[in-house]
Amino acid sequence: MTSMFLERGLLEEAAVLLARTAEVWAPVDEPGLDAPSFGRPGEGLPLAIGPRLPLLPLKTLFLPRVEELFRFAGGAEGPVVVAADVPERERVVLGALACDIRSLELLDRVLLAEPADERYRQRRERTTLLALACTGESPACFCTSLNIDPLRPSGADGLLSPTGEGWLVEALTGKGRDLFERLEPLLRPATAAEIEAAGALASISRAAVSLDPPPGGWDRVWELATWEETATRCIACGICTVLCPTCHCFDVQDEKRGSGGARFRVWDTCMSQQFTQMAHGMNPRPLHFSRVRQRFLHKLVYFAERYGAIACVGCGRCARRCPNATGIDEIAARLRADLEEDGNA
Amino acid sequence: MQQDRLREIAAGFLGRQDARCFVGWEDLPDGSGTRVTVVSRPARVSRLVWNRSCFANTVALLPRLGGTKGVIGVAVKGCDARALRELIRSGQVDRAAVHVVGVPCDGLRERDGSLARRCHGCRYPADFEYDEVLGPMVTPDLPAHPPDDLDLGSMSREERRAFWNAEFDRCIRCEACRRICYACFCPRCIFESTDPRWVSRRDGRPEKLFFHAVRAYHLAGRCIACDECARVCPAGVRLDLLNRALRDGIAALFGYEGAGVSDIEPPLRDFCVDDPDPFAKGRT
Repeated sequence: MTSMFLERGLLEEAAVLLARTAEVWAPVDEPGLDAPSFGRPGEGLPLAIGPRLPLLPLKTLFLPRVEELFRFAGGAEGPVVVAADVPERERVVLGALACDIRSLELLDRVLLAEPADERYRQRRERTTLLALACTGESPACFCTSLNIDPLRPSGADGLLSPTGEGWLVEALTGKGRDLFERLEPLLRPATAAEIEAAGALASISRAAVSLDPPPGGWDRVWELATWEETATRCIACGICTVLCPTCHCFDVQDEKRGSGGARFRVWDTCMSQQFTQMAHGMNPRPLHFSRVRQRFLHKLVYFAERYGAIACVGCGRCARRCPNATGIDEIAARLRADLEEDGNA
Repeated sequence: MQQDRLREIAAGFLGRQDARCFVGWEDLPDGSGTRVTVVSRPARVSRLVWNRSCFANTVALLPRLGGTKGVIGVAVKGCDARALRELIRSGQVDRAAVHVVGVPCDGLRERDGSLARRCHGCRYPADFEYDEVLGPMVTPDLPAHPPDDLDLGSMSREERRAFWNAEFDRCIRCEACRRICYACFCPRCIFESTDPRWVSRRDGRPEKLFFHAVRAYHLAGRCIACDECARVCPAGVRLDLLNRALRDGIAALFGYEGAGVSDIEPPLRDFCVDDPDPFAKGRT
């Protein structure tokens, strides 16, 4: 297949063209925010296709913060329950970055395992992901340490590689090919120079970060006295869980007015005491440090044991937005050092 | 150097038999700023720093550290001292259980070098008894308002509504604003109550407005203007302006000079038998 090229000036037009047949989402610049957010192009906010992490990760488009599940009402004939639909329209996400796309692959392992989360599954199936080759968001992110290739994300349907005055476009899946067929009126064959430049694209050098267990494994990590010390700085605000692309815990709540109402799910955070509060009054994680420990061991140990990968994509949102700037990379390094010190003592 | 002196004082304090830990600031791992730190051994005091990017409120940590044994040392700049005074006055911190080290501050600096927004109009608490100080703890002579200040009071109601709608539309309801706040120490919180659930966790405009209005009202008269809520907000919501509107309102209605600068009970936590308000009169 001939390599095709999309001129920078035609991007908005491409979004409009795709919007004829699909619901298009892309990073946009919203006034007041210091990072892009996923929005609908053509609704007045400028597109922000570039190597900049959106504030909220891609998961928001697949597992929304708040999602109604069904409505209920009392009636003379008995209660009536109406399930909330997942819109059937096809969706296209433009300009997603490799780290965020990798997070969907991790979420799939949880939410598509049988019994699959039907709402998540439908959204995944109906969405075409057009990735942007990421030349580097900030020195604080470390996707490469987690074997993610920011320039050629796996899990994407198509790829935009920035070069010269636009993007070299490549289809990576059948879904991607369909998409580029629709964009055909706006594409032109790429020149040899553009193909070469895209091939030579390099990402900024990122810090080498290790989230791997120390030589002796994580076995004794639970008992480390240092958890309490590590947790003192944490104010349990939960920003890290809201912004983490791999955090996926939610609460299910009913809201009732009169004889009717709705059941919805809403993101929850393990940093909150309520997260494990039982109806009968007991709380298995009563102490702050035990909640901090849970959050990090879930990412580093439990998820890895159960789903075969560390639940981190190296985006660095946790460290960057934490009021006390403590990210998972620093925690992992600290734990490893403490275990080694402990082992030598 | 004040920073060296701070380390000396912390080391001296941690050498005491009854010392538990010392709360101050340390550099971020990447050197791009500072954060709160808790040091428990004299050998570790070299981590402590003091400079004009020490934004974090050290005092907010105190009620959360828990435990009852021993004394906690804490470095406080002017705004932290206001918070500490409020926590002591409202019985959240036992004065005898903290060793307070005053750090004179002539205003924090934003990344571009300008005076931090929060530092405009700063007032140090009067007659606060520090255990040790790095220098005279006097209110610095700083401009009352930032040069690019938004004057919400001069806007029409419609303009103000549009302004706040735009601000709250960005809110992602992570609620870091309430959890960072020094004054959010209630063991039972209206936002966390599940039975009854007073505040919906949906994220529509009405729910966000309700959340922010309730939060601001609960802090009315207790906010010490440290702007930590605005600092940690990932969506850049101008909570500083909301809090200020409440502070200005309390000042105008009750002549209250602001939390943390004196030991006067904040008006909304107080009552008087000859309250002129018809609400009070109507009660039997």
